Amino acid sequence: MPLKKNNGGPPRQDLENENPDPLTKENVIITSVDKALNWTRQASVWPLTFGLACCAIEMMATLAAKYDFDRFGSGVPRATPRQADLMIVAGTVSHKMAPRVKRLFDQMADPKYVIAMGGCVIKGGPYAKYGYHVLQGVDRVIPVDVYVPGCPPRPEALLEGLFKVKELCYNEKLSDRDRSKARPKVFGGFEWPTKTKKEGQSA
Amino acid sequence: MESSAIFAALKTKFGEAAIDLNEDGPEAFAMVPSELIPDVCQHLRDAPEFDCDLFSCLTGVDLKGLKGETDDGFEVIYNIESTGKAHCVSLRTRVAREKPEIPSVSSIWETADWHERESFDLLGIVFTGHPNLVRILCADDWIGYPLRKDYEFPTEYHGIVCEFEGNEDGTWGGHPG
Amino acid sequence: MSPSRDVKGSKTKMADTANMNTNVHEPPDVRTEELLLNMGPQHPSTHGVLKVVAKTDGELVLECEPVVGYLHRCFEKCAESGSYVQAVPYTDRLDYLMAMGNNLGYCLAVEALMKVEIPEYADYIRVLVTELNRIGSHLIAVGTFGLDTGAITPFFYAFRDREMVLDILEEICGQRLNYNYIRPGGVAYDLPEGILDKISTFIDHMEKSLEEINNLLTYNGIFIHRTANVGVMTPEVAIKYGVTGPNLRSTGVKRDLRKLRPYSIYDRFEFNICTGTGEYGTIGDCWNRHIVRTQEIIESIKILRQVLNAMPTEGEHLAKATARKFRPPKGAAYTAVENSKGELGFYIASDGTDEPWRVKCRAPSFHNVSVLPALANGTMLADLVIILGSLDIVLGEIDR
Ligand code: SF4
Repeated sequence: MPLKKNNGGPPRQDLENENPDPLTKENVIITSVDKALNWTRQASVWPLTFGLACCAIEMMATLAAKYDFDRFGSGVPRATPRQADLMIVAGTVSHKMAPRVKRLFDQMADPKYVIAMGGCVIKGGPYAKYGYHVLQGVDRVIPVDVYVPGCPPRPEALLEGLFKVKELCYNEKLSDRDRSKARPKVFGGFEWPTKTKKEGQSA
Repeated sequence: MESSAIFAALKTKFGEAAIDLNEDGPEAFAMVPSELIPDVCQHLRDAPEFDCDLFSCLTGVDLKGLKGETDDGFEVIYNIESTGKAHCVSLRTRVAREKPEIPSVSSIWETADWHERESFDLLGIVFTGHPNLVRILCADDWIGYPLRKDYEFPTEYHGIVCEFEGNEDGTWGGHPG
Repeated sequence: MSPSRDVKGSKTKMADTANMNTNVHEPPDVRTEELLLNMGPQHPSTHGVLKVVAKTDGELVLECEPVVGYLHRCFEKCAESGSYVQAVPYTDRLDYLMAMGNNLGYCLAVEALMKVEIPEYADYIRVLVTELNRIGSHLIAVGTFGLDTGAITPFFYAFRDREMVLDILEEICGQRLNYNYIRPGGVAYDLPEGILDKISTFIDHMEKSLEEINNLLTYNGIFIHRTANVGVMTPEVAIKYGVTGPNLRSTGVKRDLRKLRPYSIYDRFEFNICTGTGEYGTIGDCWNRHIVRTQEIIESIKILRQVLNAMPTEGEHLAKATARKFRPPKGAAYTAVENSKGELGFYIASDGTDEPWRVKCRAPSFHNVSVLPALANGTMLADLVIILGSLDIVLGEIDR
């Protein structure tokens, strides 16, 4: 496809009119490295296999036959955070679980994304009022990119959340690969729990 | 066996005064003093006419503030069933708030082990003789016993701020609107 | 070391190999030690956020202990902080695969305190939705058990059929997972028009589809090798640990609360209690636990057929006494129903106001997971995953 514009510069009429080689004229695409990389990256956002509660069942349903996450390149849930790009926090995060969620997030390689799926992960959901043991929003522990509300959100809503993540992928710069600028802020100061008494049962 | 027959048999075994029957409410139960609980339970499990092998449920109830109740301690309810004879028994006992101690029945039914840990975790009832009485549901370093009626909701846990309406001073942030 | 790569003469080679073999069996100076292995709380085969601490010796599990509580959502506190009806949505989230069954169990417990007459039409609807939900729940159990053994395809088959159940339930009550449909005194809404035809189409389809799943998974030679004679549970062990439901029935004990103490209108329907027979291994092994669930799907279909035939075409769906605020008299009772995982009991204490004083849930999975050490100690590490999968636990009701 011949390019008409030089990325913000004056139109390159010369290229289109004067390139005599039909092969390169038809098949060469000129783009920026950022765009090419982002395009490939957004096509294979691999989620972490990470279910917590009821929302995880809807996440499984989204992965399974009818809704088929795989259509959008995300049908390969990884069992280890080291290989995953996307963490879908699906379900209620309790105070006992919060340090583990944080650790899993830390173990993922940059660039990484987080979808908060369901009311519980956004602000405590149905347990916000009397759930003494429920974390009131996972964004008190890890930064969240996309919030998908619902209790549980429908699979279509989760798919929409995935598209939002793809948008984020598109708009990224190679120079900010660890996403330090793009990443939302975490509020609330988190401390690791002190070591528990029992051997082998700590985080 | 009918529950009335079971209770009658228990009365003859453990004495008229020890066991207090109540058959008016939706569920008939026998009120047993807490120190007698292991003996009664052992008898219910081992005596061939009872054969109560399935421990269904153990519930702790905080009585503080309950209307028409002078006691402010805890009530513990044991629901026991026999799979062979298909009858159910319900026992209750009470302990004082200052010293909530009951002998454990975890050596009689394995199931009671986790149930007693749960009651300890949520209500702070101590089951003496339990092999491993530690918290089971809440985090190990959780403070307080959440199901007590005078429980104060946490305001912070490991640096994470918690905002609850349940607190007296109404510090719950919650959802806007 | 393979002989072809050895550069020395063939005689020494033979001697070396012989030496090596004896070394493998009795290592003279290899130090071995037990390893403490943490499985979970994030692990693909723990079905949620369960942690299993296993002490291993090589591939052998010497001891293991489930650690629960990572999903403790304070159900009991939430339930006693609102009115009786407000607690119904929280029961959905106990065993979120069988929300209708939880609703039913809780509502029956409230009704036991109240002595309220349920309209017959509502009773039929209750059985209808509960049995549909039971099929959905068992389908997930079957599909994910397949996943645990390494068979991915049955998972997609099971979820495809479960989607049909969800479509029907969604049309009835507007939610896919947490229905909040059965209320004290009846059900929340009347059935939508034409739903009964859809249900009868679905159960016809489900019968054929189950055969497909059975051929694919249940009678698959590899699957049988992987699950038969693994994790054998005796009736004594099961009862000692309070195991109920399909797990108990797989050991040969005929205990189904729908027959034992018929609640709602279950005494009007004909169905069998499926028990394990040990066709391919021993009674009470993982394969038996699996086959009992597939058979129970068929029994549920049987019940559904009878409901569809006998159901009145219209009627009251909610009793007048509980349509508004209600106050059960002071008292307390324990009521249990047969959920897809086992005996689901609620102990509710009323203080005479419109809010329950205490709600305690006896969750079947809480007991089913506590039996894990008794089954898994002494087995291989890979079998631990299979045993856990065959118990079909749901963390929502273990941790509550
Ligand atoms: S948001 Fe609702 S469906 Fe999701 S985990 Fe929380 S309670 Fe369950």
